[in-house]
Amino acid sequence: METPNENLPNEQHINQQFSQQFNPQTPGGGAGMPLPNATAVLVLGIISIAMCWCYGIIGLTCGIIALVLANKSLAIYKTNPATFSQSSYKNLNAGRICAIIGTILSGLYAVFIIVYLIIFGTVMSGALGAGFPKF
Amino acid sequence: MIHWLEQHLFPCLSVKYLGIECPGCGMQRAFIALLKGHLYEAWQYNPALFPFLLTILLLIFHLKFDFKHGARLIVMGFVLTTSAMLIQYGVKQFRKHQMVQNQAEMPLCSDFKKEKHVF
Repeated sequence: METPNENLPNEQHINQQFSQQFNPQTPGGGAGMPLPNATAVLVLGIISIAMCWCYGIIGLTCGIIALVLANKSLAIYKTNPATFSQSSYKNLNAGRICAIIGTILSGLYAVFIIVYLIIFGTVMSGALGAGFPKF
Repeated sequence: MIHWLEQHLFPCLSVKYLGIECPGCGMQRAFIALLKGHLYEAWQYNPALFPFLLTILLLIFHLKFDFKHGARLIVMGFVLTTSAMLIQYGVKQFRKHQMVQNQAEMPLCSDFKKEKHVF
């Protein structure tokens, strides 16, 4: 006679299967499946700083997307920390830090560009306006 | 390959339309110089290329082999890259400012004096 537990695997069995499928070796120490979007957050966070040539707009979008994804994944992790692998959690945190730095810097750069444009615009319009005849 | 890259450089939008350099300017030229083997030239174009490439390589290898302290090392490389970028940007702008001042000091002064006498 077989017990019903063997026929119907409980949550731990499923998690073990997932960990064997997705993450056979976890050097970080923890067992479990990788967090969703951990690598995406890391890559986006690093890309966000390399995109300063476009007035910081692409950097800002990349950084903000990475931050949103990271916060979602962190919320998922906090509901059940034991099921996810420790190395992907580390990746997620690293990506989050990179994204925060990248977002702040590209935001500052964008503000700098806007201020520069305003100053440039006022100077130019002033110079042009001086040339116009006054009625 | 290098020639193709040289002819297809991506133009910096902020230089093209605003005339100011961004902190990442010189990265592509530095990369091409590095591909040619000119280390010092690459350093002169943009010193931040070296920590940046290091970080990217670390990222690729970390995603493939999953090092134990990989995440922390990537963050350190990232911080190094950003600080290098900011420092080199500041130094570049300061040098440019000094050059402009040295070149334009005398003629501009005389022009201002002339104009003041007129009014």
